[in-house]
Amino acid sequence: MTFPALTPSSRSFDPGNYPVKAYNAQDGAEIRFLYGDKRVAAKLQLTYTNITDANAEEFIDHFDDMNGTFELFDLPTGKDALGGWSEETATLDAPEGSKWRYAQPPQLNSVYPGVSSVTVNLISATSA
Amino acid sequence: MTFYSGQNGRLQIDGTTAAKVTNWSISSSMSPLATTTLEDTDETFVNGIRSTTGSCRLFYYDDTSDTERINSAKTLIDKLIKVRTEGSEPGVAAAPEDVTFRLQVVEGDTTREIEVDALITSASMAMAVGEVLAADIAFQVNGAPSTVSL
Repeated sequence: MTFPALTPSSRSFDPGNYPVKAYNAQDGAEIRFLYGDKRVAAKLQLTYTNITDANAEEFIDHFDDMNGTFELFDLPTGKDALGGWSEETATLDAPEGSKWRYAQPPQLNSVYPGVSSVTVNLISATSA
Repeated sequence: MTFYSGQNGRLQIDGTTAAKVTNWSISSSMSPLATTTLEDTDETFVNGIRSTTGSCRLFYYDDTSDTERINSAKTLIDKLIKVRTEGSEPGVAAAPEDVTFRLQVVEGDTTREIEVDALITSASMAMAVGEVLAADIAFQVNGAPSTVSL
């Protein structure tokens, strides 16, 4: 099962950072070590407001298919999850060489009979 | 073509025609749920929760010789304002009572109406020189109307 092909109502993207470790000497000097050449731990929060219960259920089903926060997956090709972004979709996607996984279970709020809102939090990760 | 005016209006409280009603009103509204997504240029909606409120104004009128025409203002005020259960307990009194309103438009033998179960949300009276004492009642409809035959 692929990630639901729906355009969110709002989206928040954190590009993550390169694996940097900083050390401070006693005189205040900072020394930084770069441990990799790719960004890690990008975060993507997708909010789907007032969607049908059937669509909301797709997120729970996909979460089950991914064994919760365990499996990695790609967002569907096209611009569904990244819809409304007018530049390269790769900019908002998981960094090169990594995929998404659930950072936490999807949050589903029932707002009206047959209507729900869902918030999904994803974090990028690379298979070992 | 028929128009209606105040003389066609009638209000029933718990099945009894209210006396000396000067006006009634009812208003229903719905809060749309936004379904706008990131690619949209214009807001889109689906139907959301409905809410219906109303109000009425009745003269404070008492005619004990007419059994059909009771003091309806008192009837409604008594549903909201309650005396203490015990005189020594200022914070304890009976709960407010629900009421069933029928807001009617009457033309001869034909009656058009909206029947609702309601909670009285406010009841106010003000005495003033040169004015007839009246009660202003506001109510919140509980759920959907049980009858709509307009």
